[in-house]
Amino acid sequence: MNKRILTGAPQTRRTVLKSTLASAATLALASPFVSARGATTDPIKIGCLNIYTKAGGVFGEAIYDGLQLYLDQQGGKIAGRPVELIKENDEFSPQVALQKIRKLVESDKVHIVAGPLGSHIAAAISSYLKGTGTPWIVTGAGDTVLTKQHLPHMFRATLSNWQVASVMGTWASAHLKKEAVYIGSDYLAGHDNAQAFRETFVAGGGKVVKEIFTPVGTNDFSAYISQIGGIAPPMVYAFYSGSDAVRFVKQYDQFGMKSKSQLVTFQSVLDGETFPAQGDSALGGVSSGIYCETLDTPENKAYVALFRAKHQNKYPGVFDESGYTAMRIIDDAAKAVNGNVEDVPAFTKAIASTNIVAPRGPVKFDQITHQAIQNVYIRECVKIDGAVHNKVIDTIHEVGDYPPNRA
Amino acid sequence: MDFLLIQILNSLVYGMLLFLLSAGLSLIFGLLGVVNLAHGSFFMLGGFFALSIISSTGSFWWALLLAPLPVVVIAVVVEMVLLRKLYHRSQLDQVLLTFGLSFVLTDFVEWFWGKDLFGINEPAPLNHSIAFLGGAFPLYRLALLGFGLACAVVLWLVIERARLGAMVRASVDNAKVAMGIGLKVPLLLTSTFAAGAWLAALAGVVAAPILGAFSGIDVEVLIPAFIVVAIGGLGSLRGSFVGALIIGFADTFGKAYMPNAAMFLIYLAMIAILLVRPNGLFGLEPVRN
Amino acid sequence: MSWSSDIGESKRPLFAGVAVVVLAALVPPLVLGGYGLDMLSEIMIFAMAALALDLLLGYGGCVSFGHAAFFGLGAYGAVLLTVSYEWSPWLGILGGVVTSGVAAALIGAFCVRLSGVGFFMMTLAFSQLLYSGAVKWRWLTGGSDGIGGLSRLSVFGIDTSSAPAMYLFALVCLVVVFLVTRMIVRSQFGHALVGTRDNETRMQALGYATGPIKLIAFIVSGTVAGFSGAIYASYNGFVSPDVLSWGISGMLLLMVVLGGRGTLVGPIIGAAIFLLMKNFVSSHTDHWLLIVGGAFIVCVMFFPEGIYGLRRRWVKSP
Repeated sequence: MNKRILTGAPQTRRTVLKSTLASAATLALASPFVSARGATTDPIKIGCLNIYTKAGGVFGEAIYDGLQLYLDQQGGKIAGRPVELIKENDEFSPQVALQKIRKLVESDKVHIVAGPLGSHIAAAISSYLKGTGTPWIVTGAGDTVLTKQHLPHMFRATLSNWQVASVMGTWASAHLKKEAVYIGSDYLAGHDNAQAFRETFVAGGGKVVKEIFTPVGTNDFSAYISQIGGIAPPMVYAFYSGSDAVRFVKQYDQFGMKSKSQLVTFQSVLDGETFPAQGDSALGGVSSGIYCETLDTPENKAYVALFRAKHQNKYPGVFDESGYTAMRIIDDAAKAVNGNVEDVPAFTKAIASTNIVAPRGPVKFDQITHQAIQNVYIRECVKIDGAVHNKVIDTIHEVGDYPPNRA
Repeated sequence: MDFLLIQILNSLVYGMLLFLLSAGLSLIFGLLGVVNLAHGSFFMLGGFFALSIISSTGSFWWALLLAPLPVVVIAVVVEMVLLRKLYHRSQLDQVLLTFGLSFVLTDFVEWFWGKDLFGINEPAPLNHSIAFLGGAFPLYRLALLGFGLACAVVLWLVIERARLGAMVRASVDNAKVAMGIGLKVPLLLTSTFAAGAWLAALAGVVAAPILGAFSGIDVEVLIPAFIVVAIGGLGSLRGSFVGALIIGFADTFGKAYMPNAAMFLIYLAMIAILLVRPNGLFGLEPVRN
Repeated sequence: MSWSSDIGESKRPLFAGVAVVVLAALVPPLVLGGYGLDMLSEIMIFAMAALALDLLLGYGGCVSFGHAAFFGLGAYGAVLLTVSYEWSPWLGILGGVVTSGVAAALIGAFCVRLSGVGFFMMTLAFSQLLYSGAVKWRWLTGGSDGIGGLSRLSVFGIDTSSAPAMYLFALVCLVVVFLVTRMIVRSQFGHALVGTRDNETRMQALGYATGPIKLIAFIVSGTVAGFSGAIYASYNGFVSPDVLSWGISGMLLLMVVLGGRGTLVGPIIGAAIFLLMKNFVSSHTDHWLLIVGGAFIVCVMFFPEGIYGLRRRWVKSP
């Protein structure tokens, strides 16, 4: 079967890589990592399926950029083999994602799939990837139920919605107020968040007075904000992503709600990616998340310095770090199998035994569900040196997966 | 009662935003007979050019004045080079041209400004809220309300009173006769398209502090603009005004009281109105020769 | 040569058509891998939908910007009936087709009273209505997340889970749709439809009931689009509100116009070119919107009859 007939793409990439292969082969001979089993020096192909255009594009690009940043630090190689990142846009459509994932797995023959961002995309491609058994590192999608499937080849190297939202429920009921209104996007992640927050908030003695779900891509939140104003709760928990997050926070501030109802949110609402557009409207918001750019650890300081050397006017956000650490996890596991990522059982076993200190803190995987176990930080939006930043005000250590998922 | 009053105010503001958004579309359709699917793109470009002007001059007011100008230039070029050649062809061809154009303009935006989410702050005197009925209401939105009303009045004066509307319609209906009585037909046609684009871009600037600017916003605003124009009547500025208010109220109150039915209701309303009055509430006979 | 004149003009296209189908059935499965065959399957599914739209637009002169409604209803019908209500997959497909047919009858009854821009807007309104319903009613449609879990069809005992089997199944469906459309277009009804497109008042003066004619075309067009939507759902095993969005309506419009409206082969070519371009271009560059938009503008400006229509410029006989 000759797949080259269909598109010219593999041929062009192969010509470019020929020279890389030649040098890689020479290096590999000298490399101590070449095992007796004869690991090849063909490139490791990583399929980066994500949203790269329109409103979600900035996050997809951030993840891709993070992967690239780590790779550049390693000289473009992992375990002695060159790496080829193949970027495919899922357009946030499950139908398109299915088409692209087929291309990545069957035509490009990627060794690893990294992505996606959209929870609904992850849900759509999971049964396909379950069938093909391709190692899959989830870098953005946080839907809690994804890890319940116990897929042996899937590893979520980022947050689960439950991890982040439930921690806030517990913390807010203990440290802030005991009454809240929930407002969030009307899709999987929004309902996920609502349930996770509600369960722990109520367990901590709190009460969710009302839950409001808004359509994805809402232009104008004034009707909803005025409605909340009418209820006048002491606290509002919000889940939004992308343009919704920017608009909601700005409009919330414009309606003078910040001083009346404390805003607590999921990490995507108040984060490095949204601050430039939100400006001072973000100040005073409290959010929970797995990363904070002002974390005072040597690993994070080094990472932020590296990031800012490349992007002078930005600070890394959750998605930048997500891509960076995902690539590190792949690198460590590939080294553990001496570059032989084709040996899928051994490779996935190596990923499962990840135990590192990433810029975000310690990361390891739940052995049953393959969810990353990591710290969740409570962050407050403050001004540091004239710029809006998140500052860690509390840390909850080693937060694992949603307990029923482990059954 | 307080809550009701605030929602009424919200509806009026949103209605004005919709009017500003759709006035340009209605104008271009009503006078030229062209369904401009690139309308959202002109809106989007207005917001982005404003972004650039603000970051270099720091002034929102300069942006308000200058940001629509590059958009007008683009519109003029499009009309003279492309659209003009399609006036004698079917309406479908014109629609398809603007459809393709919207793709190109979206790519242009992503290329030049990137895929990030951008925000613009309200200009200084308007960037706080005033105490209102126990809560606060953003001053900027009230200003928007006033601005929308002012635009409506000015447009009405220009088109009705100055007979510009009649002149352009005459040009479209029968160019030869129009030229025969001394109307500068090509100039009128280009100017109309440019004016529609200018309105769209202006709306983009004015809406940016509330809606932001990013590369998917053209699609987001196109559909509401279409609904307003369809309900109000293609080609009727008065219709766009009324249609915008209807949608503003339906949307706001729908969200507040019937969240499960909000979006649905608007389309249902549109269908109901079009059934009873196929040309919209104040629609004129469609422009066709 | 007397041989060809004996056979006659009308037989040659038939031979050519049969040859094309036979080649299409034999060559790709031998030569392409799973991904390539999947790509072709998807092209053929959208080709069917584009053919359906062309019947209404190209032959009927009614510009619908809401065909996603029927495509999407077919898809949702198939998935919901099979996954949520546990019908058999074939009955699910039938259910999807019937749903879109009924919807086409209802929506058509409203829309054919309008013409031109009014028709355009009304079809858009209806499809947006369905889209917002699909997004909002999570309890029925799964909302923005959609519904998955539909397994592939079994055709006469052959499971279409494998790429070659799905490909051949899609090919058969396309051939059937093509032949049915061809039959309609060449019938008395088809001629009346084209007559209505070209000059409705004259047709009325001649005694034709143009309203019902357009309505029938609308219903057939919607039903066929629904069929292709149901097959699409089977192919993906999944459905989400995207299938009802105006993006799909716009894409079908692009395919018909790019390929050649008012022809039978045009929509198929349009679907192939659009999807190949989209996949190929978007894998190589972020600027696929520019290229597709630009190509489209060039098409509209310089060859509005579409790519297939271009052959008329070079063929001397009418």
